[in-house]
Amino acid sequence: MDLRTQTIDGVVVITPVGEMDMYSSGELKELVVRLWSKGERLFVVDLGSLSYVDSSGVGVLLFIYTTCMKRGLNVRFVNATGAVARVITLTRLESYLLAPETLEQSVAEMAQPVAQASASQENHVRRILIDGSHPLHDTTGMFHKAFYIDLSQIRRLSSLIVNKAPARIPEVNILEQQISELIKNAVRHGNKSDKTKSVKIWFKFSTEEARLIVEDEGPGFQDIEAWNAFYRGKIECYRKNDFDKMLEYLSFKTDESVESDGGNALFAAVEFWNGGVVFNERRNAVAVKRIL
Amino acid sequence: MKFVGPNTKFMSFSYVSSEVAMEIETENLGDNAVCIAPAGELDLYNADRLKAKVLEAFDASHSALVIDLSQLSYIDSSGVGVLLFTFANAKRRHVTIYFSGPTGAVRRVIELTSLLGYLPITDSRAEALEFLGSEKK
Repeated sequence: MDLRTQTIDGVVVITPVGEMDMYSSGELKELVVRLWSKGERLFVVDLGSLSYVDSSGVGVLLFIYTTCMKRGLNVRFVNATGAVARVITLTRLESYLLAPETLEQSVAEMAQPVAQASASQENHVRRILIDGSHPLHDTTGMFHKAFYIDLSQIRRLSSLIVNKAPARIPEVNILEQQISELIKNAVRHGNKSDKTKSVKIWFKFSTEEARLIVEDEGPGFQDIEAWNAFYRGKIECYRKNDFDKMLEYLSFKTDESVESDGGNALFAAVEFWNGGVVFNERRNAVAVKRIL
Repeated sequence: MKFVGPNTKFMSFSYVSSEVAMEIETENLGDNAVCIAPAGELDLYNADRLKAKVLEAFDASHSALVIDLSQLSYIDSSGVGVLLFTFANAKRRHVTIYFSGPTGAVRRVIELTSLLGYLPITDSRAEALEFLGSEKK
């Protein structure tokens, strides 16, 4: 069985194609879980391309129906024909799984107007910039100190930095986590965990913004262009719910990567540091800003 | 590059390492399913231990896996990396997988990494069991 999804006016149309057996019915359930944790609320399941479903498959469809109901999500099963419709009728579930409306009618009834502004914003993909003269690299008025540390000391350092933030700063634990990710990159990838090499840190917090610069003594992050292209590919798959293709975009690895690299730290960084992630031309210093 | 200070607390950074333990609890769920629940902080320093547990579960040919994240208070990119490793390998081996119950900072990091809505995440371990259960009927 193949699972296709498309989004029409905010309604996710799921089309299982082929035969639904025990394993593939699990995949269908899993797909629905993934979509709803992403925030999708409106589903139409098009059964018109299913050639076969057994009673356990119908059980799964009913499970999806009842779980969606429990969660207050809107779901409708349409287009069942032939053998599939017969199994549904035999199990007396036609009132749940055999909606009389067509696919188009169902989408039209559920559809919600999508604001133009958010639609254009959705095309934007964040990227890492390279510009040493960017305002984020201006260290005027920032706290500064150089550290000679190894990996084991990073969390303590990032906690101390965050202690300098105003008391009521939102999401302070995430701020600490994101600061430590940048320092980990500097220590691990930049300085190759060499404690004789320094990590220089500048920071400044206010109630409006959090700014940080981390500089190491390494050769610089040479793969920024490749990373930006990779991230664009990832986000495009994510937005299209192209889950199969997204498997190729889970982590960014280079020849330099080691086993324990998550390969995903910068994915979160470009989203969290919403005021920019900017490297200098040598690519060994990264300046970031979060607008609070 | 101007030094601004003095800033006593920041200056007095002591070179002491701080490691918070991560415990891993494993529960056999029956019907060839297993739940692995890391508790505490999952990060660079211990992510390989969770990965080893996951590989053990794959080697034991379990058909379903629940990674219960509800007892985690912290995760970093290495920890997220293990979740992704687990997910990708489960797909390849046709093992059903759910991640259950991430809260707070853990949920937020998963969201920032654009994985909320990519990984199959349930609200709780019980809900994951419900999903697994309905597959067997």
